[in-house]
Amino acid sequence: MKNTIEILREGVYTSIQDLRRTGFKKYGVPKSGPMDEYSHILTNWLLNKKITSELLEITYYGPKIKINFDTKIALYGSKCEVKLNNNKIETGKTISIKSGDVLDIKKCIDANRVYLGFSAKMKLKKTFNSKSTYDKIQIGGLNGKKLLKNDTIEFDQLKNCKSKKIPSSFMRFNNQNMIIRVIKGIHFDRVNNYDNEDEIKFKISPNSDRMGLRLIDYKIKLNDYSEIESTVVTKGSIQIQKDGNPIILMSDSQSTGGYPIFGNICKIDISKLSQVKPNQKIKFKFISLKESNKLIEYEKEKFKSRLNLDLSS
Amino acid sequence: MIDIIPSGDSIIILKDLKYLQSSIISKEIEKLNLSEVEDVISLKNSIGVIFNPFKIKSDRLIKKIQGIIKDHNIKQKHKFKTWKIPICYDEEFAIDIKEISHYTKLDFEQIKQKHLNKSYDVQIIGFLPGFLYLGDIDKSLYVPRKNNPRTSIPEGSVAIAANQTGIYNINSPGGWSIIGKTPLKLFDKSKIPPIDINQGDKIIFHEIKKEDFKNY
Repeated sequence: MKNTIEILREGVYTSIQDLRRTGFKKYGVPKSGPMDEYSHILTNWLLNKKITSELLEITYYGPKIKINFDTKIALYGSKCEVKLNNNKIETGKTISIKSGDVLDIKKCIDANRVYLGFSAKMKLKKTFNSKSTYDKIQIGGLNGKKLLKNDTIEFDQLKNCKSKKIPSSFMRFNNQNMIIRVIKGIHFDRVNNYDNEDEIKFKISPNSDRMGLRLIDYKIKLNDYSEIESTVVTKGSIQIQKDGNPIILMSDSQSTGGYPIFGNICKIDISKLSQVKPNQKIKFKFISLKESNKLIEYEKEKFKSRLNLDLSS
Repeated sequence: MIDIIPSGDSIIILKDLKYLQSSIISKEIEKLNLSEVEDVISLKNSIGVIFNPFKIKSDRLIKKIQGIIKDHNIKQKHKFKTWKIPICYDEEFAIDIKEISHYTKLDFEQIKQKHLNKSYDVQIIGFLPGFLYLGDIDKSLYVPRKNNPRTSIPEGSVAIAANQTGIYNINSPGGWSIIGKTPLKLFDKSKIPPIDINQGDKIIFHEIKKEDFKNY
């Protein structure tokens, strides 16, 4: 018998993502990968898998899945209501599954996305060296698309793993009025209405997706509207659009942009930013590149010493 | 020495390069196969290197690249190819030709001839998968980007905007004005690399009739 899972209900938007697709931006193919890398990595840790391994990224409201083999699963990211054969289960820990079990993932409660991993490995072909789904050109994942009702995913290489729980020092809390740290961008000298950074708040527009988070409620004015030369951008780059509203580029974003760069979100804060729900507010706090690098080193050390995980792998 | 600046904690930018020198230098950087580097993106006069900040910090990467890219690398001549791309200007494909004609005050035939008469440099690849930015077009063909971008432009469409012409190699939304269409599939997701054309190569369009388009 084959090891498979079967999608009984598809949910809002569930796609297969591994940590990243690199080396193809020069052809215009984005990095893709999870919006919230932090939760992705911790979900894989719960299953003793490489931090880069593929899993399901579940957005807003999840799928109902029948699992046709004995395995282990883990869910982490947004808090959400999850049922296994109609009994409530917890996220943030490894859970044993018996063949025939039905997993029902409902609404994401305090954030946007939750990640579902399996101790077994998905049998999928890589495109451009990654299993990440990018549906615009239908690559990665299952047939290059989000998961649909009646889809079946095959697994191989059954691995057994010890059950684990996310330590409390790694739990993240998603709240209102989040402060997001930013390094000023290469065109920040064009900005002329940002003197009171403590008082300026932005709302995350519901019109945000895996390509970018659109910010509304405060329009940025420039002292120079002349065209800029196209520049390279990546996940976390904040561009000022023509109407003054910023857009923060995310996993499926393009690699070049003709809009002025307001700033770049610190690497360490991109994951929690991705989980801020539509219509909630954020505030930027400027820090230096040096400070951001310190945060990166601190995080790397924390994962290494407490979870024995190498973030540079 | 090349001027290299950080942009955030995960990008460095090689600035103020000569026109298309970026194409040669970006290949040199790629040859190094640095495990810290995720992507090297070459623009007209600059290069962006996207790296993993858990593996290296920008100051060290800047020194590393400055140490390796010496003058002799830059002076190397790279062989650029010339590609002949068939294009059909029939109104069925040139969906914005009336608008272009209205804006430029040129008739259809004049627009076609002006577009055909030049060979173009591939200035940038990307933004959209496989999108080719070609330039520069004849000044009389300058049209601004559309205020309301089309939600769907068919694959193969050839378009113009400001001083550039471009080829949409996947179906996508877009704000350029469509002047024609090529039957060639230039972006193939089942191949690595997915596109054979390189930055710096030259493109010459040649006209084909609508009857020939389908059998091409």
